Amino acid sequence: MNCQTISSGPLKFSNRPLKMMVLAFLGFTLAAAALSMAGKMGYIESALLKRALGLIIGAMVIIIGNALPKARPLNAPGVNPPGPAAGAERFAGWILVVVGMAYIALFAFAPLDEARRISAVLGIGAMIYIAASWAWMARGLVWGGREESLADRERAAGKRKLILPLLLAFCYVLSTASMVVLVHNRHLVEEIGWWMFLGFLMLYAGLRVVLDRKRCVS
Amino acid sequence: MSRVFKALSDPTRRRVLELLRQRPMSAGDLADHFDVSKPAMSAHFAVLREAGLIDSQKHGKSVIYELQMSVLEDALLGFAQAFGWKLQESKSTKRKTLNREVFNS
Repeated sequence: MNCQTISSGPLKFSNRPLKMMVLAFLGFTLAAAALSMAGKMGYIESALLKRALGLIIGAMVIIIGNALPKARPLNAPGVNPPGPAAGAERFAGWILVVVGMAYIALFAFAPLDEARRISAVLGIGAMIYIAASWAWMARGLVWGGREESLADRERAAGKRKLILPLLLAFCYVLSTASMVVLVHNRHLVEEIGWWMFLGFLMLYAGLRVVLDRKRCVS
Repeated sequence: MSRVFKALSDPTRRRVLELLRQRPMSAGDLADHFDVSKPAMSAHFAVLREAGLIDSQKHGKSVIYELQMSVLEDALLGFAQAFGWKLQESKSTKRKTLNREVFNS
């Protein structure tokens, strides 16, 4: 029996859609942080700030959703069946693009309170649906999956090194933004936010361990 | 983006993308669906790969192609299929494709 650990080699930043997703995430997060600072310093009034943040999150969701099927986050040879996995990625991308467009329409035209409530529900609903469908797709992790060549798995692992933390960070930002709207108690928001941060970190560590574990070929 | 429009302008290439939507396929499996010579089919694959719409991996002796389209490109393909776009390829592009076919055969 031959057992091998997947090594992804040095991190390559040459994948264009992945690069676009990372830059969009960092750019929009920085823009949102800068706007929040400006709001706290009194340069922007509260309602305008909330609308601007909603538009920024909407744009980020559209760009990440658009590039998602191209970045192939579910490409894990030996774990996911390639056809259905690509289909799940494509569907998730479409959902995020539609949700992002809804965010922009809501924050541009709807009354602010309605926009915040509906967008929070849409964001959380989309994330839960995508997470559930992807978890179902990755059920090969539990059953053991098929054996694939080491080269294929290493190629996929190289891409995963960047896409996994990026998607988890994106989900964290989106779920925190939605939670701030839905939960009005500031102390509770901070506490839940901290637990969510820990949860996402543990999920990342768990996924890395499971996806890069030793596989034995008899 | 012009590469994407060029790739989507041809009905054969659109059909290839439609087939790859179902599952990744080898070059031979894809070629079986068309009444086109192998060099011409290779030229179509090259155009799609250049546009970043498909990705290829070598599995032993065969090359497996799989779809790699963003949501926007997917929507463009849907529009092209629905309205049957047939964009004009430039003369130079046609000449290049023809030269490649003659060279390969």
